[in-house]
Amino acid sequence: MNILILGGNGMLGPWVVDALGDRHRLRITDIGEPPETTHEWRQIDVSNVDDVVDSAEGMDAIVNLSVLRPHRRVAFDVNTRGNYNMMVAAVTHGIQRVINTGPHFQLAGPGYEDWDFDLNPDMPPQPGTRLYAHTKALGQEIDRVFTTTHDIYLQTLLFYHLYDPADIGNGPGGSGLESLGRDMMVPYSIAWQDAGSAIRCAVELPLERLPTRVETYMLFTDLPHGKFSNTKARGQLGWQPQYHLESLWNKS
Amino acid sequence: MRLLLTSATSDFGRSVAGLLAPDNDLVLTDLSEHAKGHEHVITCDLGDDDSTDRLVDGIDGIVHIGYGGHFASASDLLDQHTRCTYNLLTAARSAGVPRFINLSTLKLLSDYPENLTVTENWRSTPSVEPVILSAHLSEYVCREFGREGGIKIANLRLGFPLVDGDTAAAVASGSTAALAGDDLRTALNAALIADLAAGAQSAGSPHPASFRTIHVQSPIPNRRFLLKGAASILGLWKGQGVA
Repeated sequence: MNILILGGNGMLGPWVVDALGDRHRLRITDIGEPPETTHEWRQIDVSNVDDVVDSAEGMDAIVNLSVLRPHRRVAFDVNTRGNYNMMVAAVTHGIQRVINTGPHFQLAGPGYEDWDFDLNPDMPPQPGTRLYAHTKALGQEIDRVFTTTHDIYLQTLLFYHLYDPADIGNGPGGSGLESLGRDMMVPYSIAWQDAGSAIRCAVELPLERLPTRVETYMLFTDLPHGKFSNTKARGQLGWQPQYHLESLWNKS
Repeated sequence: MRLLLTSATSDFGRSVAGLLAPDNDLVLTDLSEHAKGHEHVITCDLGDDDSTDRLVDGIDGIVHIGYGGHFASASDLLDQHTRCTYNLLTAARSAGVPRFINLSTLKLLSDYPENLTVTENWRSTPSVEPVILSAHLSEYVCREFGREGGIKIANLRLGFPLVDGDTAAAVASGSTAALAGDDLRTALNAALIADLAAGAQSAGSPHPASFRTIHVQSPIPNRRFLLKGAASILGLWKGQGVA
């Protein structure tokens, strides 16, 4: 499969490239400097529709990893209008498979998170007005509306805390004591490697197995808190976390 | 009431200004690309700087054109209806502006067949046409501010077309979704002071509703959209078959 990756050289990008790179032909794009890669590379700005449309030519799928958090204008440019540009590109080139990513609170904002348990990806979104969540939620809504009038399948993968297991005591040589309890405020954590494999599962899932054109998944490892549910990601994507990050929530 | 009106130099903005002016002290504003040459219009690009803070200082209510303002590219429309609306609401909430009216459109529901009893409780069905998608996203921004509270937001979805005159003019237009200017004036002035919690499930809670969507078209006999919100929240047209 020919896959366009937007925001491919950010935090998550290299892990996605690792997960997909030996199975697909990748076109990695980012606004920043090029990564060290053997894959095709283009420097583009996702807020520029021509950049995105040009980059999508000849692709079978788009994976959107682009994100900008603190700067208000650029956050809207990237997180909101960037999604519009991505969908215009998908329509222009007849690309059916679009995979979007974002933080869990673009769906489960304070209105849910402070009160409820068993939060799942099929709830109505309540992002609130925090800039990051709000702008990503608007982008997600744009994507959804496009699927109502175009033959596009949208899979959205929601993440929050991402860890390298080796750094938190769950891998060789690490100590978990410093990290203990870090996962208590928002118990929603995943290893970078498992995040990459989740995107691979989404990319490779046959479209005919998607129940609807818009499917959203909460991606985190198996956690005991009961705050959120990753059942749908496990069942529909066939994704299995390999790292359980016990040192975040286990005293011994 | 001292009101701020956005997109004030657009055709629709001028119409709204004309309706509000007799009863209110209007402050007109528009983006710099449109405000040039309009000496009574304050230029403000609705950024996240202190110019937007100054714009809302001392304002009692804001009437925001969330649909039907200036023509623009898709990219600019999306920017204005998301980022600019977000900035304006952020500044307004911070300044303690008590009331915000977003002027949206009933075209967000026009996919539903006319025989259906479409009320504010029906899900909108926006298209990807930039003008419509932008109106939908403007509502989205407003809804999230309303969810958090701190400012009362009335989201008025207006009928179409807008015709000069009274309800009889709406009837004469032949459109079942028409909105007469006189009826819009009545609805706007009511929305500026209405108790938005009226009839809401949360009316008796410590945090009553701070975002309500209200459908506003003329109360013509064969009207396309039901006007339950106009009756229960704005107290309008109850004697004309609206309930």
